[in-house]
Amino acid sequence: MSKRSKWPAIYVIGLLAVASALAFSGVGERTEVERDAWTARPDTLPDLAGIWIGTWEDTIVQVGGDLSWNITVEGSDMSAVGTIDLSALGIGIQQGTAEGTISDSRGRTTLDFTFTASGVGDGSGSIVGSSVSGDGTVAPPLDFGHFTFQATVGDTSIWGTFNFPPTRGAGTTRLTRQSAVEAETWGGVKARYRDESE
Amino acid sequence: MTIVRRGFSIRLAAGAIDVFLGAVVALLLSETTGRWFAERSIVMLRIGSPDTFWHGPVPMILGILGHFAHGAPFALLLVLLPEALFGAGPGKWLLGLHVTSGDGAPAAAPQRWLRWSIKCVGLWCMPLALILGSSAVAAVALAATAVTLAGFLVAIGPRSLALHDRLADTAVFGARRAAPPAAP
Repeated sequence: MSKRSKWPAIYVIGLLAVASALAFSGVGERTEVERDAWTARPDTLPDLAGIWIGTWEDTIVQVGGDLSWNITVEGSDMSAVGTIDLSALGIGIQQGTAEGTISDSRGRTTLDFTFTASGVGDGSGSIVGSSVSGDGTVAPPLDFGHFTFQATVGDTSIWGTFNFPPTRGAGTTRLTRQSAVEAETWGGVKARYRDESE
Repeated sequence: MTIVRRGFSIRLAAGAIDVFLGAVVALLLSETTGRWFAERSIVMLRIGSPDTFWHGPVPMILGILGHFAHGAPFALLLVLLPEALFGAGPGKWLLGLHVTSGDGAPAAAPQRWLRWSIKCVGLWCMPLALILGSSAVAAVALAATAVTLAGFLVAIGPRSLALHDRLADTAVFGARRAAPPAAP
């Protein structure tokens, strides 16, 4: 048998070097060019404006329901109205609102937001790039306590997870952006909802 | 030292080294290729679609570990690539093992690539499934992984040939310390 080749070792060292360079250079987060572009254009967060409809599902206790958000972005201000179907938990469909502000700091554009739903709970979070994270509290009557959530925003979908450390509840949420026609329909529903509220 | 066909235990140790290195590479690539494959999993598993079959705690766990878990097959594939290129991956190289032809002669490149393709079928099928967004190809990848893992256990036998060795007419040889002469 011939002398042991050194090429496998050279290959692995090279592979680890390239992988380390990618890991520690921040290539995956955002390139320098993209960071500059984001600094120059603070409105280039993922395009959130529109109607998002989907579901939530607690994967521990195997219950779930519908979820929807109508998000509006004007300049650096974000506002949203939404509904969550908590019928599986005995309190029906609940409505909520969210507000947020887009800011630019150290080359990163961030959307910080708060949300509240009367009789359900409230919370806050932030969106950096395509990553969403935050926490909140579910108040009585459900009284699940503190929860955290994380999600990824894509062009047409939002997928995330949530956890309730006090009760060990956990689950997923999935939202899909609706088409312009569906958004127009939702706009009518939203207008009627506002009319009825006034 | 004599060059002999090596058995199951040392090959399992070599495989463990490869898997460890694969995990390291998967961690390092988690924010680049790992994130890309994790995002493709949303398409592959139809996450967000009403008709998705992907329910329960597994998707949640994979979601939390997504950048690592979905990128791991590709990372391990990269780690094992030297087996096809040079006849020894990092685990085999460290333990002095080498892929040869069935009779111990140097394995030709087509033989090494055939062996690698069979051994790693699950590892290259899974990234392919994510690229194509096909859950059917992913199912094939999982089934193929199960078959190749079971096929590796065949190397426990006296000929020390795993399934991929038998199909590609290869073997794994390495140096072994010569037995001391028998006492007079």
